[in-house]
Amino acid sequence: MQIVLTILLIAAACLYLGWQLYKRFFAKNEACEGCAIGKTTGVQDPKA
Amino acid sequence: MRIALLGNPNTGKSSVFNMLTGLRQKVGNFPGVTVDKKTGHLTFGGESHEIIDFPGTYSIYPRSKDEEVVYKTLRDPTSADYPDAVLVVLDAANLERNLLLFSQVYDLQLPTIMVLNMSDIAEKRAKAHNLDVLQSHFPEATIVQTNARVRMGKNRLLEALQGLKERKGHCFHPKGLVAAMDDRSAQETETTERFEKIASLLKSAESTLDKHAKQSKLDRILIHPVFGYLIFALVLIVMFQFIYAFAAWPMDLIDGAFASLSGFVADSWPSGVFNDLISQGIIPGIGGVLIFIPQIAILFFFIAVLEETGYLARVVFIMDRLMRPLGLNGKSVVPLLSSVACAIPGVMAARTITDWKERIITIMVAPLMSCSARIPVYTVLIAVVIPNRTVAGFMNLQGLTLFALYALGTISALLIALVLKWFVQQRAKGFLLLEIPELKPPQWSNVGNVVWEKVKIFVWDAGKIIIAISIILWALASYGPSGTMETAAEKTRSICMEKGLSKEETALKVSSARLEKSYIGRMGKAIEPVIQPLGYDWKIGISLISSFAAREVFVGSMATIYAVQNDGEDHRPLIERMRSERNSKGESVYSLASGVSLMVFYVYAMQCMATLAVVKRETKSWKWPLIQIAYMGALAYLGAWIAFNLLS
Repeated sequence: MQIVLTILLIAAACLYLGWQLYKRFFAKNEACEGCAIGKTTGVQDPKA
Repeated sequence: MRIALLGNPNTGKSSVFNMLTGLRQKVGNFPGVTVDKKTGHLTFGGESHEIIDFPGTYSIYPRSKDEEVVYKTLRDPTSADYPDAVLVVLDAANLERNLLLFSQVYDLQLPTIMVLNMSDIAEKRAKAHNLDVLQSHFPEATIVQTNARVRMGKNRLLEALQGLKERKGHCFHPKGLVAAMDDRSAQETETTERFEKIASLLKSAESTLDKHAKQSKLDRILIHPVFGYLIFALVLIVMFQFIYAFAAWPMDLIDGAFASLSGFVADSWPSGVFNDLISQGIIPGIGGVLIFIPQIAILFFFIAVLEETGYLARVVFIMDRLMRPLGLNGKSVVPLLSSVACAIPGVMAARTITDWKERIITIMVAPLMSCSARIPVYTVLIAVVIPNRTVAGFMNLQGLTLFALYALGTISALLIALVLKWFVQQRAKGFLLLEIPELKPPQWSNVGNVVWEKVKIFVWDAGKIIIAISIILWALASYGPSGTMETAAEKTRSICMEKGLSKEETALKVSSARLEKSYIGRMGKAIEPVIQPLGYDWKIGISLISSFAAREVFVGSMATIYAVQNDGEDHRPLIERMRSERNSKGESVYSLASGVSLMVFYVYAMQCMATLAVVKRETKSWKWPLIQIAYMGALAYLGAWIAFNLLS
């Protein structure tokens, strides 16, 4: 039982960190891109 | 109904938003607090209505990214955020400047409410308004007086929203709003005409009872070219002294409580792998988060009080003077000051900077300002290596060291900006348009909100990451490649027996040998040659790796590593354990030289995944976050190496 609980907690920790990494760097950020300011920042060309 | 909340920066828009929605959005007594739109809901007439708080803007014609939001939303009826009504918040004490935006919004023919806010300050400045005259120039608008800081005027606003006046085509400017977004010349002409009309309107609408009100004597000292900086330095020194004076006791209490809890669980729960995970991984991890609540709360208490009183706006003013020769835009001051709390809002606040090049320099140096996540690292290392004694009769050496670390980050940010100025060419010179707000006593409920929100964010958001990393660290520290940990343990046990070491000494050396052969031990050993010149051992190396995602993880990692190393047997608080840590030669691992070297490393190192993600999002490129990691990493290594060699 102790081993099962330990494995579950370690798996949950790995999944949580992986999800955070994906969310911050790769997922489309709806909270930002969907709002008005996200749209305007999209207009700017960083290389301009 | 969708209601847009607009206004010049620092007119109390966010306070009106909070008053109407009951939310606790961050409010500040300096411009640029709201750089993103925020939405909330309010109920009247039995229905729920959406209210959108837009970034503050002086004119509907945009000059920066955040100001474009307002223009694009209000000029485009097909926009998803196009409002049914507009609340324009005006600072009653500065009507001339505030009426420009109001007159432009009014001419858009949207149902509009003029919210004359901060009437208490207008009264202090002995200004009285003839509302009938104002109403005659804006007959299709409703005028409401509020003082949102003390939640006065909510009912009047709700009544106005329920009885919105219908628009019949009346315009303040004879031609209405005519200029296109990129037609600067037409915009300037129209703006000048509006200001002329506003000036004549105010002659009859506003009476200043004391036109020769002297500038506050206090203000002249606070923004003085010499005394202003001295006072600011003094304020910071006092703040850091307070952090140490008041945080030490609760910090020791929490540290001791978690060490005891860990021991209690280890001794009273059935022994086994889950017991080890809880007592050596999770409890030290949680302790590593909660121990810093006192410092975080005191720091943000001071920041909130300085902001609420209006002093921070004066700091922005004097820092602008300092920054211009260094190639930074005056508008960079707000992002850099915000970064003292956290680099993420600091990087986002750089949106207010019009020129891309100036914006990128600000984004690149903002993470060098010491953020609140560095406090855990600084305070633990200072407690371990800096003696707790008084210098110059009244100053605590530990508090002074903390001040020095903040100063090092700030000075480095300014110097790096100066260097970047040569590499990143500026196309246009920016300017800072700043209104110095009235000095006023802090609104204690706002101060309380700030402290509560910051502590909550730290404990909840950072806490989840710290605990997850602590669990993984524990697993990597408790297991290793098949049989190697046991072989190392047996070998060490035999050597200890040959040397005739005591049972306790043998147990410590055996668990240390096991840790060294674990997965994490091997990783730490692998990077040891790289970090040895900085004065660090492989265990510190493990914490450097694990805190790459978030620097505050450092302390939780140390707590987990030492708990595993001692096989859960040593229940002393972490700081005591770190002080007594010895290397193979019997020398202290945390000497003054290695401790200061580690602090300098954390001043410079870009160890924050969340900030990197925001930099990537704001610059829409991987290039800038990668450059940031590289240059800050190089600075960290070089700075730590110099510190270690100077103090060794």
